[in-house]
Amino acid sequence: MTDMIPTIAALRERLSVLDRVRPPKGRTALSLGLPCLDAALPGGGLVWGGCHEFLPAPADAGCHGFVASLLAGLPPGPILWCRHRDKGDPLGLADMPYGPGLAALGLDAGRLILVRPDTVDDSLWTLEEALRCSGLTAVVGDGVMPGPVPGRRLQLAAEDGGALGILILPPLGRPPPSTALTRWHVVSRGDPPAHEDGGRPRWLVSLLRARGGGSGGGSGPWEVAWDDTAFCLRLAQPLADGPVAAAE
Amino acid sequence: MDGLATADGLRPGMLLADARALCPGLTAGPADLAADRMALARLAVWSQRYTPQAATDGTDGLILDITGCAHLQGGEQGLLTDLGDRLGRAGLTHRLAVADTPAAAWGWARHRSAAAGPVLPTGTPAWVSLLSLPLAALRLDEGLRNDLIRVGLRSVGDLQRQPRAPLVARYGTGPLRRLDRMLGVAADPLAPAMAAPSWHVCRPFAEPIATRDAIEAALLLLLRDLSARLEAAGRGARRLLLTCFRTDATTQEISIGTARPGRDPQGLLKLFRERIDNIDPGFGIEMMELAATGTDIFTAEQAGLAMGGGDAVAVMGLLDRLVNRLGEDQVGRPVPRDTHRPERMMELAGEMEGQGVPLPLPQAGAGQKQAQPQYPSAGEGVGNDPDTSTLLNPKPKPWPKPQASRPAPARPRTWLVEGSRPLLLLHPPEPVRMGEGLSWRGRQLAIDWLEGPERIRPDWWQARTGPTRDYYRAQLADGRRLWLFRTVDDRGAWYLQGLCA
Repeated sequence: MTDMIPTIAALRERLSVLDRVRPPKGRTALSLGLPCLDAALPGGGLVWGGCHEFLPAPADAGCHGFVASLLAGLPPGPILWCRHRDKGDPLGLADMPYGPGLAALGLDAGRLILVRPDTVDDSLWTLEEALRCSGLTAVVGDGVMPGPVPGRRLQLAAEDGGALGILILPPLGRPPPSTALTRWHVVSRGDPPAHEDGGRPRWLVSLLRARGGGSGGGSGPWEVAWDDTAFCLRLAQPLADGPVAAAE
Repeated sequence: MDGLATADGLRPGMLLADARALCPGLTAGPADLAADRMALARLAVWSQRYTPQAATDGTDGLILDITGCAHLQGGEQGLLTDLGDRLGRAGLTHRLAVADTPAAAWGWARHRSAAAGPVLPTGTPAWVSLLSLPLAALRLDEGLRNDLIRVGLRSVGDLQRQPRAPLVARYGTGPLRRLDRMLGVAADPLAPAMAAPSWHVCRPFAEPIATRDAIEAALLLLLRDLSARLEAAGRGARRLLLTCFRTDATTQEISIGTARPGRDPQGLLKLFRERIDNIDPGFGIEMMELAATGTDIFTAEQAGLAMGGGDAVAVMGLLDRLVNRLGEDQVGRPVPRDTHRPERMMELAGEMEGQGVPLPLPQAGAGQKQAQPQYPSAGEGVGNDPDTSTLLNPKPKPWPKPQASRPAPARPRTWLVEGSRPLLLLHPPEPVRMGEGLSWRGRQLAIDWLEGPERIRPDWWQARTGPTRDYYRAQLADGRRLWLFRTVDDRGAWYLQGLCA
């Protein structure tokens, strides 16, 4: 009986790779930029070949900012950004992410292929075709909430293509469950103004769900800030403690 | 100028009033030089029945290189007779001549005496005839010709007898070069006009077809025919137009475009599949015609090399599918523009215009993270090569379209700007009310802090300038950051233009 245990462990290992919970041997998952975020996931980061969902707050670009900072850390290669505009949403006036804003987060807009379909059906078709394409590094679906069947199709397409699928959901209060590998909630947080050494992008990130369960690293929320000089994320200290802790 | 007009005393270059005085019944019309040129080019193509080397010459001449071709028409004389007969039947006034060199034939056709025959002997025996021609037979500029006549050189022979060095010193190399070309001492190459290859294939059906499967099958056959011809010419299709001729004498058209020249029938069929539903077969389609309306040189690429060739092909294929389903304006690559106006700083470059920025594909040894944003280089796309068929196309060439965008500036353009910029730019800007807090779309939002102003002036090099704007970054109490501006003209009117990360 005892010699069965390593076998079962090896089988579990293989299953978790097939489930895209862990990256296959020899490949690493995409780091979220901070050890505490990576530690929350069993794969040690976002696993390639799957969809990861990011839930924003209404009329808030913080989630887009966090995703852009993630994409900036990707290996070189084209990124397809498909944005579906909801005419009722105030953000519907913005039909694409803005290049200078992306550059401030370390992402070169020259890498992007922007697609602006008119309908949800076209958006889902675009995402599926793009995820199936082997030449893209990442595919971002912005503003669509795939239903159960399209969501499953996107997940299968991503497994075929091997790219990183990122879905920025519409700002729903309680989005339905999906087959995506992880779901995150990102909202903007206040930062002191620039003359008080602030004014940087700062987000509150929490992990809502992860396939394969969490890894014991907790689900947040973590308050992270974008360091615009080193072009990386860092864990934000609560304002009162920061200078005091440094002084001690 | 035909024989009848010459008999009445009309000459080219005459004033209309003089011509009317000589010939009161004259009808005058404006000259259509472009159409004349087209007609001449078509005539050059037609004259390829005698020789493959046929070229237009000036505005009113054709030059045929009949070396090795004359015996097919019964010798030079036989060829001239046949050509003259056919031109005469077509109502074209003509003067024909056969000589050793194009320049000699030009002069002999236009300036020989009425009694001389059209065919000149080969080699130096022809010189006697050529040297007796007037100086105009050398086809010199009018000013130069008049200068030479003024010093007493009236015939080609007069010129040939002069010492060469003083002639060149006084009149340049022009007269002697023309003389050498006429006498066969210097080379005088031809640029033969070629018939434009036509990328049309069509297929009539015994019975009208109406089902999607049948249309697809017929389309695949057409694509195979066309791609075989494109392959033989080393070209690939950039735009394809499928025309379906219905039994009720109407036509249905669908077209596709590709980001790079393609000729793989299955791949092209895949692009057509998205559009086949747009065809209404009606009572049936009795003929289908496929035309490549745009072609490009097809460069074969080996897939799977270190440069990521296979990936590039996969991405190009994806872009083709996206553009053909969603439309050209829905897919694009961001390009920075040199402007002060934030809303104009980012432009989308289409994939189909052949001016797309090169895709940043992974290089060999990729894998390291990039920490800094990369500066895009000034993207110089691959241009379409000019279509050689326009010369022979009977349809007049359309006016060149104005360029959609300004030419790329020489220095590298960058996305990085001083000051903070939003991540999502609202266009047009939303009017908001600024009072105690901020009122946007009927909601009162409390402002934590306001940072600014950053003054952005309009583009001074543009004729139509808007007002100068003062931009502010505001943080709301809930942590959201907004990008607001007001104009210096009306400081009370605030606008929301973007959301920062």
